[in-house]
Amino acid sequence: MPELVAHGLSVAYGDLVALQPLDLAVRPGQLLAVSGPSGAGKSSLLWALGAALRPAGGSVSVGGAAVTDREHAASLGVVVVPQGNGLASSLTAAENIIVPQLAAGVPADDAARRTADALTLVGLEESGNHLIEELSGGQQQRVALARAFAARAEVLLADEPTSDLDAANRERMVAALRAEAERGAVVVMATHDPEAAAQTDGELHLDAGVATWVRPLV
Amino acid sequence: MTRWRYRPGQALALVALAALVAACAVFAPLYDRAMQQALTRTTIDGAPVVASTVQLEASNSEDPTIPIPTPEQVADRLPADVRGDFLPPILGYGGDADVIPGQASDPIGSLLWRDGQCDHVTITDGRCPDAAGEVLVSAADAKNFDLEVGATTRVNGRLYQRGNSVLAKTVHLTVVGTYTQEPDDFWIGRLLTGASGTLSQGAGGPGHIQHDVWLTPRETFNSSGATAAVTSSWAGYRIDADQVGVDEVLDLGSVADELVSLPTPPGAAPVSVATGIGDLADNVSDQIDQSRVTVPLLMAQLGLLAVVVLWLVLLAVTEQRRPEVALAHLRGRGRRGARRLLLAELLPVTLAGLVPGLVLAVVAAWVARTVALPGDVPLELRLPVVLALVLAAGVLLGITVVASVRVAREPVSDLLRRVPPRQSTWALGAVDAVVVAGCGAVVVLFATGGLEGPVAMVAPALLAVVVGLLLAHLTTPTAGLLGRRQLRRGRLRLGVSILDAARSPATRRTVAIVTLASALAVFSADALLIGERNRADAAEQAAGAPLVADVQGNDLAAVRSALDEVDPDGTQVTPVVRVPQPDENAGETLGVLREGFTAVALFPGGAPDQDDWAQLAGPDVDPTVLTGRTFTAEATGATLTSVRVDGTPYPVTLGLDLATPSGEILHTSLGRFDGTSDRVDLSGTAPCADGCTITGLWVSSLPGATISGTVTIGALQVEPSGDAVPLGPAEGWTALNDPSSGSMKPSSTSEDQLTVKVDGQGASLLTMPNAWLPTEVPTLTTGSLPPGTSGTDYEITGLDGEKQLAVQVGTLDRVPASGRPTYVADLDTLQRGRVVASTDQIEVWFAADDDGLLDAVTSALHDRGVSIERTTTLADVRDGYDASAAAWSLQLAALVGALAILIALLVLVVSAASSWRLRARDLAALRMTGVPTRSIRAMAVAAQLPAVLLGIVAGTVCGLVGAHLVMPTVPLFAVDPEVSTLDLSTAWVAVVVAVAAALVVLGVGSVLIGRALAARSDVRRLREAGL
Amino acid sequence: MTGMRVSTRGLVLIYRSEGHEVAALSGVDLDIEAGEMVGLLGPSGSGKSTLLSLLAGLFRPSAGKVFVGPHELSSATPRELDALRAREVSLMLQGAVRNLLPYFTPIENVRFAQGAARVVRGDVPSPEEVVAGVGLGDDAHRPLAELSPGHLQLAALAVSMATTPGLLLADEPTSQLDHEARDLVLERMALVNREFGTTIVLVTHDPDVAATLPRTITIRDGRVGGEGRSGEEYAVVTPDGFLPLPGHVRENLLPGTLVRFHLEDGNYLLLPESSEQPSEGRHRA
Repeated sequence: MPELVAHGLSVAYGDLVALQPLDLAVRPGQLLAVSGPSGAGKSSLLWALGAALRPAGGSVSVGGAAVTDREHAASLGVVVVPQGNGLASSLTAAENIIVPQLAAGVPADDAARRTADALTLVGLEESGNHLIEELSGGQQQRVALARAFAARAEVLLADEPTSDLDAANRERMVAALRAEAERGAVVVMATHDPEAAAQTDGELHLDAGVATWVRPLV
Repeated sequence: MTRWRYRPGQALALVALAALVAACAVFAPLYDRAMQQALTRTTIDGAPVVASTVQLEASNSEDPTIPIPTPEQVADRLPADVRGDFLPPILGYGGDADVIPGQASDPIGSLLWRDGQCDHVTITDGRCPDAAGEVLVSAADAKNFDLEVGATTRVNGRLYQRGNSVLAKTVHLTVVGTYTQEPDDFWIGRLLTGASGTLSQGAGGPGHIQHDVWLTPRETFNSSGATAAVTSSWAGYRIDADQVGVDEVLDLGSVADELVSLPTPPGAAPVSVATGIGDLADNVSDQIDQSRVTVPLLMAQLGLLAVVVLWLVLLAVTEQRRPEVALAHLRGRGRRGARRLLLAELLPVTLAGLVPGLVLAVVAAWVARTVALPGDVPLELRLPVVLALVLAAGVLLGITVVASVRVAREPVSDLLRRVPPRQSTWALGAVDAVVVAGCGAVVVLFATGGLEGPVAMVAPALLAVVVGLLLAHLTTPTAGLLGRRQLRRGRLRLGVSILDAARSPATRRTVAIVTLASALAVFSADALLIGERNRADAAEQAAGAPLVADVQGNDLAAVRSALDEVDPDGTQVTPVVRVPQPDENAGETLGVLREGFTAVALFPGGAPDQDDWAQLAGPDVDPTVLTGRTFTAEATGATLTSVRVDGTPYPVTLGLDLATPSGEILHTSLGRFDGTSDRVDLSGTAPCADGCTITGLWVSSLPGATISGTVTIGALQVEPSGDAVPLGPAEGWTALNDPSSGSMKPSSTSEDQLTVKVDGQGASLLTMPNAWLPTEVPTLTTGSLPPGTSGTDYEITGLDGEKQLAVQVGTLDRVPASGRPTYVADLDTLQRGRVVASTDQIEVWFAADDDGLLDAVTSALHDRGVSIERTTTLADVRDGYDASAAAWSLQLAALVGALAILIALLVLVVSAASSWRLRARDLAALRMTGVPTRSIRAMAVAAQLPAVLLGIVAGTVCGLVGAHLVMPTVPLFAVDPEVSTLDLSTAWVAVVVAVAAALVVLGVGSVLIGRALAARSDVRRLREAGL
Repeated sequence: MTGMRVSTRGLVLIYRSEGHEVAALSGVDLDIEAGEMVGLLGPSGSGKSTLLSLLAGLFRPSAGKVFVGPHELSSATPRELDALRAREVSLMLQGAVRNLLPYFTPIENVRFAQGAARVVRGDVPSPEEVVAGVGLGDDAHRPLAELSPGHLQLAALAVSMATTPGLLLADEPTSQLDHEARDLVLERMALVNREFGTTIVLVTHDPDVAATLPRTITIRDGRVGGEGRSGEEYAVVTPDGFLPLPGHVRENLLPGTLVRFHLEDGNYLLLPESSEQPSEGRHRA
């Protein structure tokens, strides 16, 4: 599995600098938490790592390959779970999960099986045929995670994956993310929840776009 | 206003649609009215001046003792309130000007005064008469009766009583000028000249020589002293076309009728009224009735489309305001407050659409008027327009309120849900079900003939509503199934785009509206072209050829020779001879040259069948022509004898019938036979310097005497050329075999001679026709054969006006420029042995409306002393059909079809605009997961396109079926043509064009919309708050 | 207007979902005194938002009663409910913009919110006063699009307080705000609560918010699962004598576990049947 490396990565929206230049390297199997208050630049970092936005400076590489855009990143196995789910409302939960797999070339049968497994993993095996808007916010969040799990990501970037979840589901999702890391994926999770952050291999704290290591990755 | 600044796009769409609804409502009466005015104008302009005038004439011809009122008094008979519709009346007197002493050379005729007369004749000599006793005579009179300027003449004047006798005063008239008359409406059809030197049609005795009308000033009639005899006092009102509109004409129709039936007060001179205004008004009124069918037919459908679209947009708009409605509930305003909140926002906008709608309608009517209607017709904002506007306002108000109430009365808990519950099944909504059932019922009623009138007119639209809605409801579950299946099979793009379409509320809307719009477009285009085609066909049928010239006189030989000179092939111009029908039951005979005719004449609805026409050919026998003034022959072995009733012998005369080039038959005697003789020299003379054709060989004796025997004639020779003329063989002759009169049988195998065996039963003349002469004329017929005919043998009227045996060799659906029944025969065949009667009409038909060709023919005819009386072009005839309410109404169809497609496009745009955030966000979500850009674009486009295509297909079918249902009730002509060329079959070109237009506009539109969506599906959409 | 007392008795709400009947609330008894500021906590789907909706009279309970001040909502007519919402009960929906007409400025929104009340009784405060009251004076006339998320939430608060209602029900008023804005909104709500005595019930899932509230009620599985007082968690004995276990205790005391209540020094010890050591039942939250 490849390593996720960022060199001098910075993000700006016009004149507003959301993320000061940052070097970061996360190895396969590691689960990194990015903590900090809202607006500190957590999402910007994750999006930049996932090539969902064009950084103001610096570069991101996965397994040594420089990532160019979101489509390229996706082809390298970089999955972004954006905050507020990022699911297609015209599709059901199961369809949302199966579509990226088909796009990545997973055979239809495999994709269907993985989808069912992922839904079970997040406790939504009953809700696969529901349209996204028929699900509650927390359920939607779990579907988004299930989609990432089913995709068998090399790099999983989850933005506030537990914000709308109750304690039990929060535990369950953090455990699932941990399992992804143990599978060998690079997992980066942005969270403002200290409890969730505490269960990771390292914690990078962002404040006004400035990163400081609370617990560096070993 | 702040509300709408927040959502300007929606406001604009609503205003546009409301404006369209209003425009449809207002345009109909506006255009209808403009059309009526144009119609009136055209009808007045097209009518002869006598038809659009009122002529009042007081006359005492019944009783000369009754005093004649003045022209002013006569003019006052016309009710004062309608005089404004006419030009100031022309006043006049009429009197007799019988030249005394009344000898045979003294002409009789009329004396006339018309106010302003000198301005309307051409004075060729002298001056305008301006004093009593002065007259202006026609140039012809001046010549014929030696009435040059300065001449005087005496006529009988006013009568007076002396003792018991009534005497006429003598009036001296002085010629002060001469005139010629040019056509001028001033004279209201009165011909002043043309009588000079002709004989009057006297009742009983021989006619008297006449002079033309003499013009004289008023003073001649009513100055003191010897005044001319007044026989009539006259006033002519010409309609003032600039003042008179449709209302006035319709009013005048009844005024004219009343005027005609106005009784004459006792003791007053009766006033006769001559006017065609009543008929004019009836004609206008009929056409107005027709326009009442087509205009609403088209505008109501377009209006229906606009209302449906507006309704759907209102649904979307009110749907979007659910959270705001919920707020009204939450703030304790209740349903009424919620409704008021929506209405306060929506109603001003929809009602605001009335203003641009009115403007749009006026502009559209102005454009339509300029493009389609003749003349400069005013646009009138009258009561119906106001009513239409009020109706539009009512409809707008109604649907806005219903749409608002629908949302406002929902419980607040439902309103607060972010997304209204989806209808995932294909159960019809209550409103839709009612609409489908209602429209369906109307369509079924109409299709089964249970419905007529204006409601039936919207059948195509209603049909499309039914089909569109049903299809829309069927589409989404079907597409859902299909999409899921595709996705299960791993087909990503197809699956996602179909699912997207299936779950987007816009899809149903798109299917329904595109169906309706395409149906309208197809129907309109179809109707337009069917109308166009039928008018073209009718015009072709009525005109016969692109240009037809009526030739004066009956010199067919000259005409044919002229045409041969101009067009030796006979494919550009061809002669046609029309033999009028002898009575009502029999048909007209039309003599044509079949090859030229089939090449030149127009056959709407299908090319002529050349096999049929080939059968028209006459006997395939070359004519035997004699050219010269005298000719000789010798008879051998003659045993011809004739025996009278009393048993005494009588000589037999033998001769030839010779037809001159003009068809006149010369009955020429060759010699007499008196018993058996070996050899007799024969000779005869005939004026055949230009060549005569032998049409028969005859023998004659006295009436009642038998003729029998045989003779062989040979060595026929023309002098002085000495050319030998063949008489044989026998095949060149048709044996005579008439049981009542006798027989003549030819036999010969050589050209040089002919042997005839004669057996006469008592007829004084036996003629054996030459085989060149047709025994029966082959004809193609349309309509019934004359009464009493059985089988295919019947009698036509030959060129000479006499009966001629004919045989029907085929039938035609229609004969160009001819009514029914008509019998078409080959002109060459008809001409054999027959002259052209003076009652026959010779026409020259042209393959093209080509001035050069016409000039060439005119001059070639002129060289032969023949002139063209008048010409009729196909274009003229066509213009006559086109200048009708029926045609103008159908022209709306083009507008309606185009608008329908544009409205559908508007729906696509509005749908996209109202849901683009959500859809772009969905696409962004897919993009985020790594679905490639190309797939995203393909999905975005593919989600739009199938619904559009489905709608177009369904709409096309609905439009075609609708046209099939409705077209029979759509008036295509002001007056149905005499010979119907009605063809209501689908105009496929129109359908293809309409479908292509729909495909291009809507297809390209949805592709662009899809691409625009794809372009806006950047992943950053996912960071925007909420949905 | 002073605060209104809120109480429910045996509140049950059942709805149908995919053919099943689901109990969103299954017997909630609640007493909130006039002028209290109470947080409703609980995992998503626990029924806290449903409870809030019932208190606002948005729909009727399947069973039980809802008392708001002198009114009993389960039998109130739509007209009475409208009148109630017009002046006495105000519901602040989750998401600030959902409380606002998007085309109006804050002050116009307040005026709109006062509309129904102004018809019924004249003494509504001036919109300027209301807007200033939540500290939004500077932004009163600005279009909503120009307002920050925190100020939008304040505008929503202003609208909710437009008629100085006796009861303010707020659904996740701080969920999408950064900490600064969150604290500002909470501060202003507390201010309103103090100043007007308005009873405030707010739903939140944010522990930080809960920590600032004097009283919290945790809803779990459609029931009152516990109460917190100034950060301390309590289980609440229901009127019919049931005692729901706090969430973390449930993980240890599995369904079917027999327990004994043991009174010791005026405190009850909860002794599972298998255990002799009462301290094992204690668990850190």
